[in-house]
Amino acid sequence: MNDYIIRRARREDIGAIVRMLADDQLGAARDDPRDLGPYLHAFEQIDADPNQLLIVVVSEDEPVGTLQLTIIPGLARRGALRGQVEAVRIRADHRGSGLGADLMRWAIDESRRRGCALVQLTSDVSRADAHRFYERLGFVPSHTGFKLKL
Amino acid sequence: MRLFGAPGEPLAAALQELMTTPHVTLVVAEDDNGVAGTAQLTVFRGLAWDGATRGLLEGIRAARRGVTSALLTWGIDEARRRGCSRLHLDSGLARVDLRDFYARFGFEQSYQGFTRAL
Repeated sequence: MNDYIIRRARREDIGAIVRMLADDQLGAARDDPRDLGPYLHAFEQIDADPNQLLIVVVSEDEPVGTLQLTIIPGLARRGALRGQVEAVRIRADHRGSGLGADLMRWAIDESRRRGCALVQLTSDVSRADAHRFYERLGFVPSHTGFKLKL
Repeated sequence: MRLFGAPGEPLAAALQELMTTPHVTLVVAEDDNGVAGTAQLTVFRGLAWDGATRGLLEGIRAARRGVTSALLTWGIDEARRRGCSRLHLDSGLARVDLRDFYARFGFEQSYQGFTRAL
C-alpha cells in the first residue's frame, strides 16, 4: 500500500501533470508536454485565483494523479455555490487501486467545506468507463454539455 | 432589447454582492417589459487543451426564443472577447427541444453532465 499526499499543485509539478493529460485517448490529440510554456502561463493564473484549485496526488515525491476544482457562484438554488471538477487523471501505473475514487472524494469534501450545494462535472460522451465511475461516486446524469470552437 | 452586466447599472449593482468573483459574469436581457432573460458566463483557465482559456455558459433562462438567441450571441461574443478558444454550454437533459437550436449556433453536443448533491 502506497502512501499518498493530496495537495495544491506547484510550478514544478506542471510537467508531470501535462504528461498525465496527454496520456489519454482524447488528450493525446490536444495536449503536448514538449512545450510547457502555455501550461505554465495557465498555471500562474489558476494559482492566483482562490476559487480555482489545481490538485495533485503525490506518491514518493512524484505526482501520480490530478484534478482541477473551480468554485462557481450562481443565483440558482438560492444562490448556491457549486464545485466544478475537470481534468481528472490518474497515472496509468496507479490505476485500479481506488486512488481516483479517493481523489474525487477529496474534491467532494473540499466542495462541501467551501459551502457548495453540489458538485458538477462533464465527461466526454465517449468515456463510458468514466461515467460508471462517477455514478458509483453518487453522481447522477443531469445535463448535456455542448461545445463551440471560437 | 438591451443587454447589460456592467457594475453600476441598476440590476447589476444589486447582483454584484452575489457575484464577487471576477471570472463570473451574470447578465440579464431586458425588453420593453423589463427582464426577459438571464445567463451566466464563467471564464476558466485550465491546463488541459494546451492551457487554453475556456468559457462556460449556463443558467440560460429566457421568456422567448429570440431572447435565448440574444443571450447566446452575447455569450459567444463575450467569450471570444475574453480570449476563450472554446465555449461550453450546459443544458438540462429534459431540454431536447433546444438541441437543434444550439446546433444552429455551431454548438456540438459532446458531453454528458453529472451532478452530485452535497
